[in-house]
Amino acid sequence: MNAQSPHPSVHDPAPPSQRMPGRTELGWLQSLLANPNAIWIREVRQAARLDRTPWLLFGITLLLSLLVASIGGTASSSNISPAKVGMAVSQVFFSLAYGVVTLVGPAVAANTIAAEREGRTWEALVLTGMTPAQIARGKFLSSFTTLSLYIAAIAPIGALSFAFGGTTATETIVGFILLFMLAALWVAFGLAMSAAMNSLRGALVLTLILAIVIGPILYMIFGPAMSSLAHEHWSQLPAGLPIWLPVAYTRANFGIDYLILLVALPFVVLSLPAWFLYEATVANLSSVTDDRSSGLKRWFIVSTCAGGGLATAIPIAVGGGRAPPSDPASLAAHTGLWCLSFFFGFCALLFVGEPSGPSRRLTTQWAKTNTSALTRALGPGLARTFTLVMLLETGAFGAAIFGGVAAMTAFHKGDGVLPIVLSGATLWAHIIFFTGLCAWLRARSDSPMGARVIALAIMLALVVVPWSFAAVGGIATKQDEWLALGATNPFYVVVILGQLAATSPNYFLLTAGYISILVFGALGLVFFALAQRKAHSINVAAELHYAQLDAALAQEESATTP
Amino acid sequence: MNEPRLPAISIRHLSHRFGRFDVLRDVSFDVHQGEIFGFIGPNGAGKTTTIRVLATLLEPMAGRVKVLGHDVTLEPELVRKHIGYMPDHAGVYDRVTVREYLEFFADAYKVPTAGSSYAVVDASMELTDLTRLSDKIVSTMSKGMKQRLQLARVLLHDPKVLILDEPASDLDPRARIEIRDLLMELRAMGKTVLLSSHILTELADVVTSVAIMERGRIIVAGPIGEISEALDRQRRGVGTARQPQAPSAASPANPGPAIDPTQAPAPNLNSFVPAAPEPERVVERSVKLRVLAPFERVSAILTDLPFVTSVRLGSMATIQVTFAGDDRAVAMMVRSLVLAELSVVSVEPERNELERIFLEATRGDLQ
Ligand SMILES: Nc1ncnc2c1ncn2[C@@H]1O[C@H](COP(=O)(O)OP(=O)(O)O)[C@@H](O)[C@H]1O
Ligand SMILES: [Mg+2]
Repeated sequence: MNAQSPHPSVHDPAPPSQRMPGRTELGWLQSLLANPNAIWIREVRQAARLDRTPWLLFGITLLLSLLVASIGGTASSSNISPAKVGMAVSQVFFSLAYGVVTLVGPAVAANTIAAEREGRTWEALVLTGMTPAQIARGKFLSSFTTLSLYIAAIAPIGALSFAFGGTTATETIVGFILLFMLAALWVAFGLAMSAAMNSLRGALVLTLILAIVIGPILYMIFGPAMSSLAHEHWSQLPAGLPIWLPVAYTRANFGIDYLILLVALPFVVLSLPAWFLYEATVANLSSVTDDRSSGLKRWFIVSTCAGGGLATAIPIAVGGGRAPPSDPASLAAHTGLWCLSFFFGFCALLFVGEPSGPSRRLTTQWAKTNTSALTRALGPGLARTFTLVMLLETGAFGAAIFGGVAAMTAFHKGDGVLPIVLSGATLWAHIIFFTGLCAWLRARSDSPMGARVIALAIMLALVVVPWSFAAVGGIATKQDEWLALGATNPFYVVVILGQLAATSPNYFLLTAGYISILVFGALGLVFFALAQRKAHSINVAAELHYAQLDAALAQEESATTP
Repeated sequence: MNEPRLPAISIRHLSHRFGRFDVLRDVSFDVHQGEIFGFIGPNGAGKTTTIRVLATLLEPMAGRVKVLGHDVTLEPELVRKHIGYMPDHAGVYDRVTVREYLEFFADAYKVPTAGSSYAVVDASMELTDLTRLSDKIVSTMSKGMKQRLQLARVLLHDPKVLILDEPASDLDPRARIEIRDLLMELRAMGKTVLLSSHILTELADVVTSVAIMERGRIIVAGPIGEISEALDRQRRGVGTARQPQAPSAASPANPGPAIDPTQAPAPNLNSFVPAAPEPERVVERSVKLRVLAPFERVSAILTDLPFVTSVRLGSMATIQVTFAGDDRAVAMMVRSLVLAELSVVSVEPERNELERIFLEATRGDLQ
């Protein structure tokens, strides 16, 4: 540091950036390569210098190849046909690969954001003006790159199954594509967890615990369970295989059912959670006064349309087989309604994170940039958000009920329509109630987490307590009427369906069901109205506060400037 | 610099609270462009909290904070473009070199680059004297080096206002001097620097203005010269009232707006309100003299002077003289000694200006 030297300007005029965004169809890819995300580059570089990476890769590869080889070896020494051995090897390999992806993906990703926060590098990063979305993408790319390295390292073992036959190249390639997609999903999951937590250790532990719990459940549901259903629909598919989807692509008959079940459904099941995790990550990286709502709401709208669409289309697509209520169409219709209910329950809890209104910064920005009413409607705010949620809930349930009814009318001359309509209405009413309750609790509470816990506790109490009384009372008095207590929760659907199927329905129990639809639907709307009023008064108070502050500061300013 | 310019930083009635604990209570001060502004106060006073508000990392609960005219709450993106913020305990990334570290931030700041050459990174490494270390792994560097690296980082996007939280704490004396030289250099480049410290002497010879904070309140703020003048005037005027009070406009416990428009306008905090025309009352000060003569002779000459109240032997062969008067009295003492053919080696005020302000302004429970 020579004080005499002419002061170097940190900003000598540099030639303008030579990075031009691409304009072709693959513009995003070009711009990604020409102008790569800074975080991605840095983290890949850091990972390359990590001494333990090659050892970890080597260890996992060795372990997997030993496992697969020993299975293949044992199987081929007995007199099982090589094709079967090949199939088994491929099943074992992809199952293990799924396990690796489930564990390594979230672990790698959970590290990244929490590590920046804990290592005190986060603030420097935020102050560079990098947006939360850019940061999230950089973190995603670097974690995904690392995970891809693991997949690439074990890929040759997957090729072993060829040695035996039994699977085709296409099936193996599709298997790998799905593996990469699942890897992306698990990385996104780890990132979302990491973004939500401040402590590195907490993020790692919680993410791994959840991955270990959720991973196998998803494996069972989308593996063996779905493969049995797939086998029922396409008998040429073997039943009970965990890795059945790649096989299904090559062996199922092409048709509208193929498109809906093998293209649309997997796409929705993979992409919507990934999108959600991305939006949740970005929202958690943004400050509370940023717009953390629009992204999630866009996701919600699209998911509702996709979910509602699938719940409407699948009953029609699978067609009728046996008589209702156990035919595929009515099973699909009821499953669809329940899936919608859980989805909307989740979303109601999700949107408890909404602030009572847009921040002052956001309203100022909206005013300055003449933001359209549509964009504003997607912005933060309890009232607008829960209005949207309730409208979409109603629309999706309506569509799903319509789909079920249409399928029943087409395949069974209207048999089984009433159960679908009544279940749909009951679930809808309870979801509206839960949504309204969430909105109201949020409006009254400063902490979204607290509101969520209370909402869940109320819901749990409404399920557990009445059913317990119903069980005790019913056993003691041997009267079915006790079951009517269950009308306080959505699982009353089971009672309604039972009564509708019975030869002499108990009208008392059915009436309780009708009343519950009316009461809970109305309660939901009342809670929602109360929430809206509360949020409005909070917003008005805040506006008044800022107006007073501005006036006072202006007065002071004019008093001090001579 | 007399033309009225936009203040680099303007804080008005800033209050903040963590839980039920009022961390900042009605903080107001300005930092003018081109200043090196010392933000002083003991640990836990609220310096870092104020700085985090300035750096758009913490939303203030009340008050208005502007950086170069941009409100930190309403336009944080613009504020971020103009500031370079160095946190008190910044972390660095593992397994990256100095150059890679800076290039990463240059990319993150979207500083224009020509292909793969980073002129900005080179310039900022040169300024902070890190060029030799460009291939060193940052996590292995010493605290002082890391501090320089942080400075290099915050300079990448050429911010006008530098906000440095405790830049010199935990540094060895050499590193501290280097940072200080760097600050002077930055000031010469036209940057405004706000730096905090809980150690007074760290800053004494570089800062041009100060704000002293204690328990979330600003006790005194403004250019050093003005404050010390005001202090002198005040002491002469009021006598026993040692500490000027920063006016508090509203109770921070009040959840409403932090200022009450019905109250009198808040006085300008950048200089003390001078007391009414003061009856001349003499202020006691002391100086340290080094004279090549026995203490008794010096003492005899000085005690003869009417304004000298005491003469004591100080540390390191200095003589401590207490007197009532200003610089003319000091000159008179030196003259008397020289006329008596004694060789005066040095005369220094017992405390430097900043320390004096500090002690006068605080209740003395600092440090
Ligand atoms: N995030 C926080 N939550 C609760 N209290 C905090 C937080 N940050 C700071 N404090 C408290 O606020 C006070 C001021 O802290 P700080 O601004 O860091 O002081 P300084 O930088 O002057 O040492 C301290 O008492 C500290 O404990
Ligand atoms: Mg501090």
